[in-house]
Amino acid sequence: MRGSFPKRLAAMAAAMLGLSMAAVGIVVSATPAFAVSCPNPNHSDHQAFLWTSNTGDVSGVRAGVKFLKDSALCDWTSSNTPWDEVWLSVEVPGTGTTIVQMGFIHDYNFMEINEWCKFWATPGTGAVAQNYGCTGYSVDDEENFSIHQDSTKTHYVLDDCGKNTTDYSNCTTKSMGTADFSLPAGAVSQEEFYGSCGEHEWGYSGDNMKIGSVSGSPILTLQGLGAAGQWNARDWSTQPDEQNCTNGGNYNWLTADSNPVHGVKWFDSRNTS
Amino acid sequence: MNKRRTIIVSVISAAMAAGAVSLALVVTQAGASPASPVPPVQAQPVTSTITFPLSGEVLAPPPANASPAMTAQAAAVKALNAPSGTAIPSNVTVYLGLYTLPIGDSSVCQQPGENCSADTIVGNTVYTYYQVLAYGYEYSVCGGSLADGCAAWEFVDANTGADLGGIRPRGTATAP
Repeated sequence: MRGSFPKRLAAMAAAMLGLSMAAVGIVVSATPAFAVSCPNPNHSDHQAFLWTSNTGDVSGVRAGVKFLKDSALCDWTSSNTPWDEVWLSVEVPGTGTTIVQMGFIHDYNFMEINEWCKFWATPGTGAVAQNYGCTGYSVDDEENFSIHQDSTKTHYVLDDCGKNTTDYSNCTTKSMGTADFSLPAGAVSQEEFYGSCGEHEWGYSGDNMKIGSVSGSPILTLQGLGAAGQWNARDWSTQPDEQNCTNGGNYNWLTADSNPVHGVKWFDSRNTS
Repeated sequence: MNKRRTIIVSVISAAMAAGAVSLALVVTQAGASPASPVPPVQAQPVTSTITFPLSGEVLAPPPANASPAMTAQAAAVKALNAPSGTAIPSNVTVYLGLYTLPIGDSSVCQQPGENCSADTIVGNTVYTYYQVLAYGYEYSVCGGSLADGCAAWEFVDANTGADLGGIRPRGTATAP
């Protein structure tokens, strides 16, 4: 039965409002996708795996990285702007900024809107992330990153090898100016800043945050480039969680297989989808 | 290659000449929500080159006759895929300038497996972006002054609204 005009008008208005709100919810959210409690806004945390060598065998790292959006940041404030990252790198452990690094970042843009971007960083930019590619991604897209020494073994090349591609043949170089490091390690990590224990990490038990994989998703596995020039699966070690949050409490992390590792993954036990 | 370099040199010369001219350009930002009580943020032309020492990026003064196709507001909305009318917060300072992002030495481009076809090469340097007329949106992300390392930037093509990327200060971001 058709309703009266005022009722139909009200229904239409409600429907339009609903659609508008839904659209806004998809496009932009000034607050996290779901409420999080952030009692310690200065907390930070990371969960990392390292591939180390005492013989200078670490010349590069590459992998497909799964894109997820189910992380939730603490609220934006002008004094503490939180962010999460997932990345791979070649670095000198413990130095802080002796690193070449690529991955995904979830933060707030200048309109105080949640954004998910790709990023890269070098020793020069180690104190800052160079964000790029902040639109155009869907959940479960795979982005392929490759960090490797150039052929003369003097500089690192940071290559973005595309979304949902199946190899590293068509890459866009984001940086090629960093001189190679002495005895670096490979690293893959997930990190959280400003309210980390309250923030929800990327992935849930049924759909993990992944760098590489043994199951074909991401298609491209985690590989390390040895000094002799071979890309292979390598031995990765789980690093102690020495910061503010608790593995097995707020989140879980696990390698996808025994060494040599083809992929690592994490999930937040609080996430449900 | 020679022709390309000639063009680039010409562009540099033009930019330098333009820099000598007094800049009176003010780009008024339009398109803010009519309901918003916040006056629209205005973009100001860069008057002296801003260099980002950590990355080598540069935001240089625009030509005196620069006439961007988009307002800072419209460019921001497009770049961030934000709802139309989303206002630029008042704590954001907007600049108009020529944005340049160097990424390394061109010798790497000659090596097997490397491809710089999407980049601009000037002299021996490779650039992802070279003197692109862009808005630079500067804001603080950690409460301190911008000079204290709290400044974040986003760069957006002022003619197309394409997001050119940005700089985010961060804490220690390495594995142990």
